[in-house]
Amino acid sequence: MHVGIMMQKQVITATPEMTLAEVQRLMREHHIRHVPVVSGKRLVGIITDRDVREASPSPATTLTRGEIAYQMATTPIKQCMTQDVVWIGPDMDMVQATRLLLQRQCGCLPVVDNGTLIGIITEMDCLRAFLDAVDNT
Amino acid sequence: MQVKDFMRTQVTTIPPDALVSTAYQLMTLRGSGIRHLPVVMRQNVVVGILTDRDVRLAAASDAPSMAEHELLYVLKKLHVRDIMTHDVVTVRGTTSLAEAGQIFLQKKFGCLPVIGSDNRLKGILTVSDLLRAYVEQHDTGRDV
Repeated sequence: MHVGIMMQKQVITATPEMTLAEVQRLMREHHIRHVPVVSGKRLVGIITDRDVREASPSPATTLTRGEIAYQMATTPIKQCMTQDVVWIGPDMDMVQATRLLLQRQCGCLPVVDNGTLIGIITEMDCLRAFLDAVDNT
Repeated sequence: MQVKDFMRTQVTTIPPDALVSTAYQLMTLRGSGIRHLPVVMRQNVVVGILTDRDVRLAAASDAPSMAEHELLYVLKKLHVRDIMTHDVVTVRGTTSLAEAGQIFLQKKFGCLPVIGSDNRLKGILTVSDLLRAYVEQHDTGRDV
């Protein structure tokens, strides 16, 4: 079974200029932890809820709440996203994609075809592939 | 393949009368990667489960804009039993991986505590454990 069949084609994406506050809102609204960052349709990075947390002011901050909110609302995500993204093509077998997901512990794998982001594979998609394989044995 | 073949038996747990701040510290410890804590009474009997989401929600949803010391102050006023999920879905070691997988898909849980006939915690199963089974089954050609 191939990635192209199991992937989610409706992907919530961000742009590099979006701010930490904006992407955080996006993650909360859609209950997601990973957001691919695109420039046009080209994948240029990925940002996770963890990146956002770690980019937020440190625990020892002396900043006030207002100052923290200001910093979140003005820092573009391109400063803290991962630019070196592990991505896969639609023809990869789901077992290989699952292996990669486990090895990299990255939570999701963007699917790219001809330089364009066309989908995303998450743990749940791999689980569905596993259960389909079980049903077919 | 059964749950007991792929579950983890080294499980970090927390008692119901612990402070939520303690749970928060366990979950945010670097490298711990803990998102779910089974809540157990004496003799490892499971009475609930606490997720990182429960803790975040307890922290009044705007945790990132709250300084860490303020957050800990709020969480120190709460006990684990106040915010944990009481109705825990559990599986047995003899449950099939396919059945456990269906529970994950339908309920969107991150983990399932594994209990014995005495209701005591035997281990924990996550989606990652099932994915390891998927890869292993493919590599060894073993039937599921």
